[in-house]
Amino acid sequence: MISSATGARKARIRPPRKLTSTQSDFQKSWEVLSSAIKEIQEKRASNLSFEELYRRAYNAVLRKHGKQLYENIKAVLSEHLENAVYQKLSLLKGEQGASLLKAVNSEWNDFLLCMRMISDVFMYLDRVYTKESFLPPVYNMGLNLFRDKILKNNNHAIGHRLVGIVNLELNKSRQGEFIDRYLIKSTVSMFESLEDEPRTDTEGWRGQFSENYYSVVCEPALMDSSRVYFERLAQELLSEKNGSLYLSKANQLMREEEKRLILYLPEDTYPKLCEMMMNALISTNLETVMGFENGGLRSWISENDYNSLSLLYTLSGSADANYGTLRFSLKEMIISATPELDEKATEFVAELQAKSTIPAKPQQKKKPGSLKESSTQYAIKWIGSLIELKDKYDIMLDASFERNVLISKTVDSAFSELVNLNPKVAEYLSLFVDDGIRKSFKEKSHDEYESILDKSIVIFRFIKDKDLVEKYYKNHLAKRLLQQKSFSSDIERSMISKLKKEVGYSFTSKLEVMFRDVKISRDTSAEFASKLAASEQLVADYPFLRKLELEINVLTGTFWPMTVNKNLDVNFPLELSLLREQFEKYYGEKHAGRKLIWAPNSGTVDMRIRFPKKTYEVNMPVYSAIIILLLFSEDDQKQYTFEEIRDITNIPENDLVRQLQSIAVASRSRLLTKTPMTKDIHPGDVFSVNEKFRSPMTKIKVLTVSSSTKLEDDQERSHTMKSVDADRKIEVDAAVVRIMKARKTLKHNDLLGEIIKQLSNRFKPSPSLMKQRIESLIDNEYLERDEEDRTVYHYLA
Amino acid sequence: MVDVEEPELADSPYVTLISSDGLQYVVKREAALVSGTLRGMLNVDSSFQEAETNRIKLHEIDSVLLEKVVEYLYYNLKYKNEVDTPEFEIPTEMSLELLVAADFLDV
Repeated sequence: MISSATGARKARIRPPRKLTSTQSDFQKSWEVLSSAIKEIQEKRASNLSFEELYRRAYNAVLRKHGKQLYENIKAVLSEHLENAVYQKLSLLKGEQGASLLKAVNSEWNDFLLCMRMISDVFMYLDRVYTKESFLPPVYNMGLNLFRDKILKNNNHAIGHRLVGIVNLELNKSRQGEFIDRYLIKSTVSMFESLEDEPRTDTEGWRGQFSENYYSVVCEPALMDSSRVYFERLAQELLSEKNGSLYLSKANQLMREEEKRLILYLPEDTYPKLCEMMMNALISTNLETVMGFENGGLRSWISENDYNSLSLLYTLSGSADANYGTLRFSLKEMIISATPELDEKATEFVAELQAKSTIPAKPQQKKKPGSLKESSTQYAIKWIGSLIELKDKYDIMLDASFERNVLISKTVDSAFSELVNLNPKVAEYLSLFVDDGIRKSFKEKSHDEYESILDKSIVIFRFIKDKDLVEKYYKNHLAKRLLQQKSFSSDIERSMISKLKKEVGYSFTSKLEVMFRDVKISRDTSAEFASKLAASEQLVADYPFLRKLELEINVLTGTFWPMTVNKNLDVNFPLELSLLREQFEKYYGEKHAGRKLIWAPNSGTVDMRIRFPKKTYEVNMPVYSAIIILLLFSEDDQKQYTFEEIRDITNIPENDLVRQLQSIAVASRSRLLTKTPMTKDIHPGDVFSVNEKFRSPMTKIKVLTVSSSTKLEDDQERSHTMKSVDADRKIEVDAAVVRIMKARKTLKHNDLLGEIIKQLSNRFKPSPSLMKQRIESLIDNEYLERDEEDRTVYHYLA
Repeated sequence: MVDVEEPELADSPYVTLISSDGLQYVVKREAALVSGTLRGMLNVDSSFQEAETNRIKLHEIDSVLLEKVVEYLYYNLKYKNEVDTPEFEIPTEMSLELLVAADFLDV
């Protein structure tokens, strides 16, 4: 009550009226109260005056009888529970299931009501006595008694039975039976309101922190029986041996179970039970499920079953936020795709061969070439399939896995492993792009080939030995540029800029120089031609000069992949040597100090040849032109032996063999005849002009073996690898020096780490290579070891 | 306060408080519920005599005191949720008795 300060003036304060009851009255009061409790328990409260009871309790407390009163109440309640309620419930031993639940529930509800009334009556006791002595309020004291005297009595006789029944009912509901869910729910909430051990610590009574009967006894039992249930369920589902079925059924069951949990069980249990359910149904069996042949991960992926995959994703995600098992399986799946890719490529090549052999009659000459051709197709198809596979996974990531970062990473790293399993992948990729730029992109729109190039870059990203790709790409690019085989320089440039974006300038700088060389050469050729035409004296001396055109490629030696034989001294026919002289003169004037080395082994000559029947325009390699111009340009029908040709032209013998094969053996371009008419060129063979040469076309192309890009054979490969290894040594050396120059002093392991980091865009150097290079740098006095700590290196300026 | 003779109905919005000297005060149920003790008595669930009849005989409180108590019950009800409350006048001579009554009634 709010008091007032107005009574400052003197006034007689009336003393409160003496309480009527005295000390000795307690017993009398208690008798009234205890009989009142009985009345309440027998539901005859309407005869009682609350005011009287309250007043008696109030007075008893005022007279310091609180403790006694509390104990008395406790005793009366205990007695009632033990003798009346417990006995009654014990009689129900025979009763099964719900009826016992019902009986207990109704006792419980009655008891609660009584307790509410009793605790109202003893409100003052709670307010004054129990609080001060850190005892549970009368109401909770009653609940504790119910717990001890009913549920826990006789070693949990009733409690355990109840828990068992709840379990049983829950399982019934899982089987689809209808159960009285309010009964279950109220039983569970009864368990919950029965605190386990009342806390009576110094901070006072804090009911909300104590464990209750539910969490201590009922929940563990529920969890156990549920686990058994789920495990049995999982086994049943597994026995179907169908992953899709398993997932969808498990999912459905879990949804149902979740609903059931919300209906029947307290919130606290929900996450625990869900976790357990997840564990039993998903986590433990995920691997098995994904491994099923019928409706497992493999079949989902191959059939693009995005629904099952999404379900798989959701379920495995809720079981394990890291998607551990799923990621592991995906990885396995991707890495194991090698045979599939090989098979696809093999099939494709077989198909191609089948097609090509049907219309054209098998030609003897074509065999060795076609083998190479087909292995090239194999490589192209292999990369093609790889890109398809990656696409498939990309779509899948979008459609089913919500682009999950972890899974994407796993897929990428798996692809990287898959790609690097194939030692030839660098060459394959380069061939694939080469093929695209030469041919297959012609039929595609800009966007299409751009996307294919982008995908190639993705594959490129996966490749560990990027320097190898560079090597092959350079080779292939060189051929494309010199033979003018790329149908669009835009594509070339786009590819290079993509590469640049991916790995940086240093990677593509050489490629760009190659481009520049070709472009400048074009201008140079034009300028040279106009200059040549302008020099009247020369034209007057050599009238045929007017008919000659030179298209020259001046290439910066170090940037181009082909090896130039500096000692080559081929005899040029007059026409060519004239051009050569003039160009050397012209070029020498323009760029003083540059040395030109001629490479007649690459390049072609177009010329018109008059045969008795018809005149043909023939495009042929420079060597072939030399042979024809030097030896067979006159009409005198001379014959030359192999040795004579070799001596006159001075063409290296193995090149000569190939050239002669092209112009004297290949059926479409048999400009010369050879005696004897065998397939192979042997010393002593005699060659002469083929007077009877005929061809349906006016324009003829003399093919050389090296005209199209092909997969390397083993010998070429080992050659390439050797040159790559040599380059790698230099790159490691350079990296070491760069690093040490900056750091001056570094530990061995740190140095290795730095090297790997620096070269990560190029290749992954092996430890032995790095060690070897460091040793050699020490030998060459770029570095020295520390005197005391041998694992430390110093840079020597 | 008005003296009313007839008993109230069980679910009436008014209850009757009777002082030890027999005077009856009909107060709003709402106001009576301010007191924890009266709340307990009027609790419908527990069906004590008082709850059934809506009449509460207070043996310890005489009419003078009860009048002041009732005044307070209304006062509390009115200003329960307000910050600026006018002072509640308590005659000095009643203060001790009121204190005891307050304790008893849990207000």
